[in-house]
Amino acid sequence: MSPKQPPLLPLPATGRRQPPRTVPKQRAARSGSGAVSYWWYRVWRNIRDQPWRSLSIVIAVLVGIAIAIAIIAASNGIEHKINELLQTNSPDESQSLRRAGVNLDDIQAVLSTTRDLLTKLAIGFTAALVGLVTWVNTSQRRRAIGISMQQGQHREEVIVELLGESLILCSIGGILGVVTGNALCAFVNHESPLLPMQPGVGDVLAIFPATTLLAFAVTAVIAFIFSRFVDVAPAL
Amino acid sequence: MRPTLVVRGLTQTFGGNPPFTLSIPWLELFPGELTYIGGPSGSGKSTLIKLLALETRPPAGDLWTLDRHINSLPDHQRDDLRGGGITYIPQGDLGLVDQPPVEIIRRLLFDYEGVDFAEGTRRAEYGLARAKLPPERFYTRVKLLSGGEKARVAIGKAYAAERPICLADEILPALDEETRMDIVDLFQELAEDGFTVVIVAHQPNLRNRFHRVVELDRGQIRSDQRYAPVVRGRPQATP
Repeated sequence: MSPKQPPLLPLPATGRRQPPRTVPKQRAARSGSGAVSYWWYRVWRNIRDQPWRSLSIVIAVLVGIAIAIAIIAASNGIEHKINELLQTNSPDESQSLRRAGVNLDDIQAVLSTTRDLLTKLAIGFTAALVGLVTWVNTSQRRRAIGISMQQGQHREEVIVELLGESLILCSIGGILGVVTGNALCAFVNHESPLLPMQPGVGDVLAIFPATTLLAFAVTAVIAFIFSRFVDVAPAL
Repeated sequence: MRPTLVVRGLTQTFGGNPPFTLSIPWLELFPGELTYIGGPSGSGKSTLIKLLALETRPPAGDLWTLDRHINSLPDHQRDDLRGGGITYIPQGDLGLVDQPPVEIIRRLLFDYEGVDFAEGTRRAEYGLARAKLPPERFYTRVKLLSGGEKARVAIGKAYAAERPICLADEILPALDEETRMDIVDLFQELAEDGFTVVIVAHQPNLRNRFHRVVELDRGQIRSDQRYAPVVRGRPQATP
């Protein structure tokens, strides 16, 4: 083929032809006081568009954190109760237990280790659940991300949008989860006084940032992968 | 008149046995022109339009879009040019999310240009009216619209967003013959309004409705001709 384009006929004059358009539209500035409301609207819009999906994330976080709090509270309660039983025994009974080869310090160490293990497992379980839900949620966005990028959105904007949504949903689910978990403990305490549920404040405070941070990390990784390593075309 | 899309020595090779190479030594596309890019399956039509849509960076050769040299543009500026300069209509869902047409356009305008709700609604309704979408469908979710109505929404998006270039990739096969004619009419009007309109299609019987027909074959331009298109409802224009 010739390297030069062949001569073409002039465009037909139809009587309604408008001037040629050759200037692209300019992107609006994203700084200043308007930026907060701009991003808030975009994040809120995403949450509102898919109410059932948003609700499912909130419920997953809520259930995960509530169960984790209940597990931690139950293990705390069991440890506390056994310690109490061992300490309220009379000195004679303690002596007889020791003579029988039962080491109370060992029992307390095992209880403490078990409680720590259960606490870590509960936090890990909740974090994994939240991570999984966030992964599924973000994965479903592949097409929307593709369309958004085709319409000129930068990679960072896609990530900010997803992180903002994740932050809001995880925070709502987390707060509700802490409230529900504590209510569950209070209910069990009331119904079954033999098993006191004692949620540790430190453990409860650890669950919330751990799960939220994990959800953040998962969202960020997926958004980065989608926006960086996936072409716009397949995403459509 | 200055071209809005200029291709020089563009080459892209894909693996396979034998490997496929798209090679466009020279191509200029002008505003006001409705261009048909045709050819058999696997001739490189969609690859070419994706390169023109700035979805991928040209691996070899040069591409200018609206007087900007794409090969030397940083990623952010390329994204900006894609968002501010091009309306791309992919095959399948036509790049429409499941929202009412007015909302889709309002969001597009808000996200990129920061256009407020009232102005966005006005421009969306104007664009959809230009694309002859029935007003009672303006606020109906896209998944409830017919194929022809979805195509009208996509064209309405081009009118409302006023990006100078409109690229459509194989959107005609999903439509019946009469609707297909109507949609080509709309693209003709879009071109006459000063837009650069490029359509990848595989309907040889429609070629006489376009200003220009570029035929690809095995990654090469086989022919590139400009015609006086047949315009329905109007006396045929003479060049």
